[in-house]
Amino acid sequence: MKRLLAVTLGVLTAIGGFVDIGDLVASSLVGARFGFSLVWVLLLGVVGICVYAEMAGRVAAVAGRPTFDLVRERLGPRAALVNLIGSLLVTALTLAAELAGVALAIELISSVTYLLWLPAVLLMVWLVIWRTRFETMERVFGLAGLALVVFVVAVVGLDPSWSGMLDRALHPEVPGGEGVPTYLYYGIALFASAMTPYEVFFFSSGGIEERWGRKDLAVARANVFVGFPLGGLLSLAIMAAAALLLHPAGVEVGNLSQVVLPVAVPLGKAGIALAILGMFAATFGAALETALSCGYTTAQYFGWRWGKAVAPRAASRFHVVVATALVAGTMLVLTGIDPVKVTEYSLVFAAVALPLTYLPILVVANDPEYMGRAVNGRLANTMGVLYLAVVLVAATAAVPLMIATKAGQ
Amino acid sequence: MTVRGRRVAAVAALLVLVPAAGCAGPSRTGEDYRNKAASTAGAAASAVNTALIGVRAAGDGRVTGPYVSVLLGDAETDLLAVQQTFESRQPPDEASDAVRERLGKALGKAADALAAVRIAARRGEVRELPETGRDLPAAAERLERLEKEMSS
Amino acid sequence: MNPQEDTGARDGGASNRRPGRAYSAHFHLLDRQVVDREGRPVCKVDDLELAHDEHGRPYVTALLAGPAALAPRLGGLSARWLAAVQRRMSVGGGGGPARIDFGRVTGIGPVLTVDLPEGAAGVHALEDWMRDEIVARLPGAGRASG
Repeated sequence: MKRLLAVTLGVLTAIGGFVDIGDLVASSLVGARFGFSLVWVLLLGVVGICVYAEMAGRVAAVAGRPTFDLVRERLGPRAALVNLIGSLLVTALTLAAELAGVALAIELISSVTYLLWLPAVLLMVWLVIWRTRFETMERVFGLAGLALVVFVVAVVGLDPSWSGMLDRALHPEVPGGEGVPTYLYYGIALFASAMTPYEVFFFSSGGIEERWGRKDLAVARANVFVGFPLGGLLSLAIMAAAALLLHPAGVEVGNLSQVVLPVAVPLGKAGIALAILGMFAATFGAALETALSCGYTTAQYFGWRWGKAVAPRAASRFHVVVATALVAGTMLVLTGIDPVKVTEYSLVFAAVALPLTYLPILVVANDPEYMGRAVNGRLANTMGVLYLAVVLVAATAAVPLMIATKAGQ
Repeated sequence: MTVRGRRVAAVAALLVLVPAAGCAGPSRTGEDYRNKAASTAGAAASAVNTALIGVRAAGDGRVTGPYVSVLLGDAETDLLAVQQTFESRQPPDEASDAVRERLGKALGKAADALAAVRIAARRGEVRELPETGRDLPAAAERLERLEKEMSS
Repeated sequence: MNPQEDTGARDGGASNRRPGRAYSAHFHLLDRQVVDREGRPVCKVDDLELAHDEHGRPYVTALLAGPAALAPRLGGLSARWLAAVQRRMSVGGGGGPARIDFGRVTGIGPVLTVDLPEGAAGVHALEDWMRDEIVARLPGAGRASG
């Protein structure tokens, strides 16, 4: 049982980082619009995040250094500052989307508009960061997020033709009526939702908060290889459910309420309740992760003390950054901006920021001074370089495609 | 400013500009207008079909009251948004007037049907939704037909 | 200093250095994390203070930290912006950068370990201000949540 609980960091990172508002929206949207034809991108993303989260976790456990700490050392203060500002903007935008997601999940149970719930959500998230133990936080939200498994049950309940699904996933084609640029644009959004930078910031900082050492390498790896594929499976289920029910009906997903629909039809009220619980936990977990990541990255750039393991008094600058990010995110959503649109934009800008995050990790994981004998093996390096190339292509193409497709219209 | 700095500035500028790209652009030709009509019909059909799935599930007792009322409210909001965008668009020629009129009527019918189910759902009449929403299938079909016709 | 310039670190009690190994100021010192004896983060090495020995070779006399040390290395808009908030953020007394004598450095590795006198955590002006004016006023600020 203890071993099982040790992987909760990975589960929380995966539930809150992989299956966050970005994934709920992107998976469901892509499934409804493109059927199974983008499943390959999701698989590509899952393997990619595993490769780099494993490296970041190994660096955290062996060198005792979180990711952003190393970004400055390797890129120099100037480029790292640009990176910091870029990452902060993307992470804060994502945080805004997650806070809206929590409020929207409450709206689905209460039918009271999400805008009214936002202040309460802000307070709850802040209180958890301020007072809850890191492990408690992980376990409660990671495990509650597992309620999203209901999407897997829903796919089974929709009684699909499994061989047909497999066939369409293996032989992807752009559906009729959709342009290739739109297909690629959503492909990049989906890829970015799997590889969002804050996931590695949070995962590596979280490992240090849990005081991982060299002996915890196995735990770190287990976290990666259990957590992220699990998150990927849930995303896949959300996508498949949408592809089975919404795609044939010509429904385009633009609201969180539509994401739940493929669960409601086969599973009824209990399904809805579990799906909403899972969404609440996943977006809440992601709100915690993104808010903390804003603090982690800033504190690690400047060398401040940070984290939940020290009293807030001793890490006041860290807590001020976290609280500022929370308030800024809430204010953005309170302008009434469409939260699903915020999510989509945050994914595209995350795609642009990807190389800045992943290159330094690859460099440090190869540095024997930090890593001793735990430097990257041949497999990790081959995969790392391959993914860096993919990430570079995605980052370069993201904004031109966004303009060419008018953000996927 | 470094190259990277410029890139960040460009991204920041896009952050401001891109949301504006979602607004209705001007249509210069009749063909352009038809294409926009087709995509409007598609988006509207999506909203109506969303409601239709929700309403059928409600008839089978598979949805909770608050959930279905949010779902139907969202669908109605989406439909009204595309309707408004389309109607504020200037038809460039007389052939476009006919397109505008036909789609306008179909959108109006769909909006009425969605309003009816949204009102019923907010009143808690969940079980009766399929009866209240009996116009939804026809509205969806009409929009889908228009979409197909106008995109050909 | 010029970050490209390589210098041998002065004999300052750096315990885990191997004999005969030269340190690159750029790669082994600049932008490294500084921690205290308990491994708690203190600051980053934002710049170095150099002196020259009798042969004219440069050596490091102190670590400099804080925006006042970092800003000149950034240049451009970011430097001006940092300099503007520098008074608040400066570490140590006065407006200049905080200075940690190189003799206090006890280890050079992935992180620099320094031997700071007790209570040195109180030298961050911004941390002091934020702690006293904002964070400490909130209930529960004194206990770590873990």
